[in-house]
Amino acid sequence: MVGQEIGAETTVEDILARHPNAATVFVARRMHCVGCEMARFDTVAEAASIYHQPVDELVAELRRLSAPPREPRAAADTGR
Amino acid sequence: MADAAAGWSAAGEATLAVLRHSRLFSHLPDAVLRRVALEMRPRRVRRGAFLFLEGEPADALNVLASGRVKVVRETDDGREVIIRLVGRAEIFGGAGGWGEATYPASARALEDAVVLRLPADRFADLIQSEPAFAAAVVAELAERLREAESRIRELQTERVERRIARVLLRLANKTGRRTEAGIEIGVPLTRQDLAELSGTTLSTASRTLSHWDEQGIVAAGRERVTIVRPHDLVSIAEELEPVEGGPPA
Repeated sequence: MVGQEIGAETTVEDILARHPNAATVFVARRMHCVGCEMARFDTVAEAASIYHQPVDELVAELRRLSAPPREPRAAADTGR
Repeated sequence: MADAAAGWSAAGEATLAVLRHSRLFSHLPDAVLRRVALEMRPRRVRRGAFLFLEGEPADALNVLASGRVKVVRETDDGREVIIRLVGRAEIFGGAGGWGEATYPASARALEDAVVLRLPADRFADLIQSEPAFAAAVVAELAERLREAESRIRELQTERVERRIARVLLRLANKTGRRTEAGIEIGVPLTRQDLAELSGTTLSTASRTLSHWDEQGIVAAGRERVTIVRPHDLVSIAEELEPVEGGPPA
């Protein structure tokens, strides 16, 4: 799963299984999702609702932390 | 030691008024109350000053006459934790009365305050010489004991509820499926099953489940349990603080 495939309806468990570093987002926002028994069922939208977090911001942050690092441009590409 | 604060003479009306409002002294006959009042040593303290420190010899029982006081303890890493806030006519440092060797906590003035102190030896004399006073002390200690026992029962109940909640959540995680009503646990689960899995009695498991059903946290059929509000159950299981910032989801 690439960062962009994370959406509001993705479950917490799915995100954490494929991108463990996404845990930092939940922890920083004081959300108890990491290790929660309901992570299999709770979507990002549901977790956002429970913890009063803006869902769009949360999704964006999760995508940012889950996206693979950008490849550096090859020298030839920069020629105009 | 500060001089007796103006207006707070030992047997003055102000002192008597405060004592009449305190739980320990309020039911004493007037004559006995006046005798107690005569033994009081008023003391003025500035905001921020300590009245006594945790571990110091408990040499007096204190009654707050005016101002505000907090009872505090220091944690291992040096932070101050408030045990309780003391209001007017409330007793603190009772250890100094009922014969404990040291104060179990410190007391600090939140604002300028006047405290009435009953020295431990005066307290002991009153116990010996005034049956009404001795009876009042017994009643006060009985009340504190009831409060402590009630708190112990609460803690025991909380522990059992946490265990039951955790069992339900683990089962839901491993076997659950989403339905319109919530997360349905995928195995038949009788009250007896739940009781034994949670290490409690059938009656406690039953009562707890019914209570949560009434609150809409679960929907508990005869053998089917559905978790309607998963986060509420998680909050119980993990003792989570209520979430700040807005109405519950």
